Amino acid sequence: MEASYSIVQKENEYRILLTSVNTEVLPAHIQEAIKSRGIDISELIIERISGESTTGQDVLHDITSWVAELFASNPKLIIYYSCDDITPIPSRNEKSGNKNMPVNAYRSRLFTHIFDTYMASHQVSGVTNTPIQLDNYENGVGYSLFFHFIARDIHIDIVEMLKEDILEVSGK
Amino acid sequence: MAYTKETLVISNPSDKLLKVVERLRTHKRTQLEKLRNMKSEEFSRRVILS
Repeated sequence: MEASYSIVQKENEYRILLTSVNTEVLPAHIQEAIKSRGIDISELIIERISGESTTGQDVLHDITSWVAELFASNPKLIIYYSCDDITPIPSRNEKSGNKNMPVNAYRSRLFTHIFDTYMASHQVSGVTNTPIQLDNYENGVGYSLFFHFIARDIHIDIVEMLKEDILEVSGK
Repeated sequence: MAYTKETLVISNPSDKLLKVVERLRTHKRTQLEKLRNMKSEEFSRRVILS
């Protein structure tokens, strides 16, 4: 799917994109499972275009509501989110032990927190967040990468296939 | 109720997996550039919060 959203609040502008992932890079059996069931795996991309203020709860709420609406109205959608370390987080909350946390780890924790909070407050069931973390370190030097899949429980087998493929590709 | 599964942690991923991840990151950079260059009227939804 392809959907985009722009939120402007004073000098801050946030842009969000939900765009289909190219599944042709996946193994044939996963492609077949996705195709035969009409599954759409789309990547969620969130970018701040301007402003450096701390992102408020109202903005986070707005983004979450938009994504939740899209998810609810697209019954075969699986959302993929990679927590990027490409762009920094200006004015982030550093009060609670977050000070030295890498930006992608911070984004991953925030993503899970927002997801769990939304699910509980809206009494939604049958949808699961699956986080994946890659730790690439040698002699204590390296980096971590964080990914999430949001899927209905009826599609969790697809996520499990993706996880198994990641493990296989990684030789685990 | 648990909405989030336990994190699958993969330590020392293979070069093959890291190459796939790098392709995904390259794709994401392209999409970020696309987002930055989009004109206001091109968005499927726009809102101005007070």
